[in-house]
Amino acid sequence: MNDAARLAQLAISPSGFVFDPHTGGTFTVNATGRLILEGVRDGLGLAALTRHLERRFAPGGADLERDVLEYVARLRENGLLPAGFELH
Amino acid sequence: MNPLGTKTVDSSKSTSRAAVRFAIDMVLHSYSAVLFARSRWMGLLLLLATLVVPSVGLVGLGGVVLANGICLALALDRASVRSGLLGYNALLVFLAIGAFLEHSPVVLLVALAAGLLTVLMHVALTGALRSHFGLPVLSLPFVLVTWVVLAAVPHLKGVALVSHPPAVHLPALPGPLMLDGFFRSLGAIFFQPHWASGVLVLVALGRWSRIAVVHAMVGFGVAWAADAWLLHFPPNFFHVYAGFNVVLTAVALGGVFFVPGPDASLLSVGGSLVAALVTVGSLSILAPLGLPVLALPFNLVALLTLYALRQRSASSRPRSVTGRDARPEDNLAWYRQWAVRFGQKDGPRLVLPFRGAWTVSQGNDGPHTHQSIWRHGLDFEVRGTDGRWCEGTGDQLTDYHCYRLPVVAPAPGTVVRVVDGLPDCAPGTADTIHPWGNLVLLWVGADRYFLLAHLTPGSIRVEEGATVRTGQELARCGASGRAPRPHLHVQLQSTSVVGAPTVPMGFHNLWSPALEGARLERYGVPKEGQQVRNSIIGNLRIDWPIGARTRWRWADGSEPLEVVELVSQLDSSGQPCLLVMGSAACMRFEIRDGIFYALGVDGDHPVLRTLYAALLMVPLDAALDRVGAALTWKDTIDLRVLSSGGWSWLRDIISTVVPPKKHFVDYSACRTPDGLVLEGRSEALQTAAHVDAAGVSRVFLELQGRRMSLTKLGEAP
Amino acid sequence: MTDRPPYVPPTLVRHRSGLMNKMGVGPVVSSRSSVAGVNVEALVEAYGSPLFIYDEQIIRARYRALHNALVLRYPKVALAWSYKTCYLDAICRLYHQEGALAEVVSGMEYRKARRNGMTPGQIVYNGPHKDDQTLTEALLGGARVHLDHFDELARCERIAEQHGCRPAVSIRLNLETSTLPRWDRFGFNLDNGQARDAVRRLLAGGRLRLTGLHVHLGTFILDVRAFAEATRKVVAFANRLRSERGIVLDTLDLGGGLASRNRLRSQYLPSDQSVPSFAQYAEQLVDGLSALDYPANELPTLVLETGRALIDEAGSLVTTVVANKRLADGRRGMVVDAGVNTLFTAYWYQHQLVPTQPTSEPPEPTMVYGPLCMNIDVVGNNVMLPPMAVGQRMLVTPVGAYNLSQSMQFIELRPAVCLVRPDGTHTLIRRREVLDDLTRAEVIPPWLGGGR
Repeated sequence: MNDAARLAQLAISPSGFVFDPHTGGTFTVNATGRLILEGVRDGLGLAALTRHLERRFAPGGADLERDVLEYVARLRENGLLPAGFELH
Repeated sequence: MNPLGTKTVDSSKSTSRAAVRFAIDMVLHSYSAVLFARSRWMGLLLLLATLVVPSVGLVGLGGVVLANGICLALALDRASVRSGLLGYNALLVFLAIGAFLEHSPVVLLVALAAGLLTVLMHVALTGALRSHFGLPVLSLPFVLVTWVVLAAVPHLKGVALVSHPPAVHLPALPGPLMLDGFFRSLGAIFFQPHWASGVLVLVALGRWSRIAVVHAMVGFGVAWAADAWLLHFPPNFFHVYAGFNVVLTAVALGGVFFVPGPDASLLSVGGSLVAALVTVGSLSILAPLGLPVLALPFNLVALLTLYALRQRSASSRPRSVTGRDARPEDNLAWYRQWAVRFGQKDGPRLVLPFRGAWTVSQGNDGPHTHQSIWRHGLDFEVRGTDGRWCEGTGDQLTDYHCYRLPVVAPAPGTVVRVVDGLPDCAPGTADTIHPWGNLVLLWVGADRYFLLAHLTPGSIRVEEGATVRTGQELARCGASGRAPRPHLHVQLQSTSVVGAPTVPMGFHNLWSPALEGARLERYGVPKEGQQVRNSIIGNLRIDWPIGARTRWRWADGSEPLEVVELVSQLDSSGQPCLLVMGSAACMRFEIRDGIFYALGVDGDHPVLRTLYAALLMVPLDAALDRVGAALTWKDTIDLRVLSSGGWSWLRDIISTVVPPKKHFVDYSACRTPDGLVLEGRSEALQTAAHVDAAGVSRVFLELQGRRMSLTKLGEAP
Repeated sequence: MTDRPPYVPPTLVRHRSGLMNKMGVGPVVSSRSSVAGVNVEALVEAYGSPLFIYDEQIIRARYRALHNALVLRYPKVALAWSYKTCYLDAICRLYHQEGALAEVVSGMEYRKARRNGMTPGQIVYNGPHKDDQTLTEALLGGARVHLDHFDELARCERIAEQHGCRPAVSIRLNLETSTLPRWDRFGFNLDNGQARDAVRRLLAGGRLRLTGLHVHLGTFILDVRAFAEATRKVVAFANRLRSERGIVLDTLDLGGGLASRNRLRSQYLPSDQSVPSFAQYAEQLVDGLSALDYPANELPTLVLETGRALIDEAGSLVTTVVANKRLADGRRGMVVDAGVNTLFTAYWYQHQLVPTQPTSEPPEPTMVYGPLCMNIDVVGNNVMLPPMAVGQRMLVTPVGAYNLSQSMQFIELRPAVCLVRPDGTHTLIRRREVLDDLTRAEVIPPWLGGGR
């Protein structure tokens, strides 16, 4: 199964509840996390994701690239993203 | 002047002057002690009274000197010797010898032996009577020794009884027979049955105490009236026997051993009648033995009355006096002072029956259960910092703050009833079959019983019949009986039936702790909602252990500085007092429940006056342990102490009938980082004192423009 | 531009059994923005970070609560503030103002107590090492000196002989209880008769007066029955001393060791279920005292030397987040500006870490590290914390006991300490250290460039 198909199988509710049918695991993500996860599922790259976040939230001086990269790594560790997955 | 600025005195001259003063005191006080007093002028007048018949009087004087000399040689207590307490029995014995025995050289030897015997008997009897019965020895040694001597006469060579009493060539006293009889009987106290002697005795007595004179006259009058209408006295009764007994009994019971008042006067009248009766009775018993009655009836009646009436609670009327100076006016003033300062006039002295601060959850006349015959009951519980009686939900007994806290005895007493074994009721429930639950009923003196109820089962630590002391743990608070939640119910009753009608109940040294300004009530009835506790001894002490000597620098206005030494001792009735070395004056004090009270001053000394006014009451309670804590109170001061000389005798006479106006002083105590600072203020005076961790360190009094101060220098070796 | 919500870093929380509720969200972490009504941010602005905050209201309330719990059960009580718990003079004086004695365990602490205005008679002098000067002053001044060993007894006798007096002393006992480890290195053992020998030796010497007994069972004692056992043994000993030798004691010092609402790392139950209340401690301590064979008005004074139980909960530490990290195994890490150099007690206790700003973000197990470059510097182990940005603050409680007296000038200097008063004002009671505070006692020899 390729990355995109695997990602499409994740059930992500608007309130942040995530169900991974592949492992049976459940997770909670916050609004920012949901945006990133949906963005990755939709195939966005690092730059696009960052801009997406900038548009959605008030500027706050946070290091958005770093946050996105770290989050993707966590998603990978928790099996929500396939091992070896990398943002382009 | 030495570098310290104190007066130095030539020591050798002072020693001999002191010795002369001692000797004079010793002799004169022995005379005045016969009439319960300690006064030099009175002693001098009585000495003159005994010299109306010189042959008798001189023997008496010689005997006083001899006996006191024996006392000093035997190293008996010098203070007692000086106050005449060890010489008056010898005086009477020697007067008797002088009056009854023909003078001869052999009599001298007999006298010597009699003197020694009197001293020994006095000391031994004092020890026995005081320690076992708490009674003074009065003139029992005189009676016993004189009997021994008189009984021995038939077997002594060269000793014979006089055939007739020595005659004095004085004109008879004009006026009614009763007057002559009165004076003769007064003189007969000193074996001088002549009116001249009696007049001197009366003057001496009057100089000392007017109340005593009144009682003497009334007592004599009662016996005279009894003779006229009731009894059939033998001839020569009055001036040979009545003077000894009826008058002395009347004076003793009327104001010396009991606080003067209408009840004491009634007792005095009754006592006079009894003394008369006993005198007549003992006359008949002793006549076959060839022994004179002497002062036996007086001793018997006085000691019997004293002992019998001491079996009551200490504050019943007439009130027994336990004091040093037996002057009736002083006793009256002291009692009035005490009543004003310490409030409660009668009944047992109760303190709160628990530890720490509890709150009254139902007061007198409380709406739940303190009604009708149980209206004087009180319920106590412990409030938490949030104002509730429990923490959490209150569903469990252990949620309640007072559950299983110790409950203690409020006064010394005996346990008369214990009920145990009833279970604690769960919160919200009550046992109406046994409404009092587990209880302890204490007899606390006279006809007063103290009930503690609703105790937790298995916690009662005393059995019926046990004696308990104040503060001793009795049990633990519980919820047995009619107790919807744990609490302590207490009440005072006049019978030993559990649940009997209650009588008014108040507590002494009641502290109402509050963060802003604690209140101290020397005696009060706690009200509903009031948080109260007993005195808790704080971390400051005023310790004057017996025998401790301290040195102070004394400055009195313009007088140069002096160093005085104070020593703490017990007086003859066991009361702690503070003496100034080198003087006979002393200040009686008491440390009770962590509060220092200055009770009064005997004698006159400016140093003691200052201490008395400034340290009238020093609360050494834990409430004043916190820096910044403060307390204010009013106290009454005995102005007689503060004023000296002049018109004091006139004021005394007036105060016998009209109680003197109370003089209130406003005191305040404040805790500073160094210790406790006390201040007192009234229109007449201003005082200040400082107490630190080592005790009292500075005392100051300003009175009528004079500024007096005492500063502690340290312990004396 | 419509107003956009503020940015919050992304979170991912894996559900484990027990964490799930019907909303599908984990527990929400509480937050605390003020101490005693004073805003923490305002305090940090005034005094810097990290910052110790002491709450005067709690200090006084705890003292009064313990005192009251004892006073409701025993007529003569004295509390001694254990100096080693917190050295700040302001705190010590606060306790003395409330009426506490001073409990000291060394010459240095003794001098400190004297400088705080305590007279020798108000000082309880413990410890196995008492220097000559303070020991002499204490004995002569009437301090409550607790003898720890025979050598000390001999020293005291020598001092008494030199000065020609007979000072009063107490002896420290150690004993076996069924639940606590025996601290037998202190004092004289009661169970094997060593204490009895010490008394005999003391009496035989004739130079000292025995007026008290002292026992101190341990620290952070959660089992109140140990206190009851110890009290019974000490009371039995006191009764024997009275009946066999006529020794009348005026002090029974039952030590301290009462626990605070802190939580040992090994402890399973949360502290509000496992730490006994003052009432429970008092009940067990005093229960044994009712067996004292003394008349009601001559009972010895009960002295307790408490420290932790009084002050731990009155102290908090504000610390600032310095960095957020992701550890190699995916766990979240956070670096704050206060570590074990400031919070020595973090080695044994799990403190409560609470952010000062409220958030609805779900928490995540976080390792909280201090600023030291040492692997053992862990302030919080897997603490549930929401995402926190650099510069945000958190409160660490309870830290009132021992942290200040045991904090190090290691790698970082010691922080400021402030006291918050009941009326809402705050004041500095120890300023933040500067480099001079570290080097002032040093002497640089001349060949290394030092002058004078």
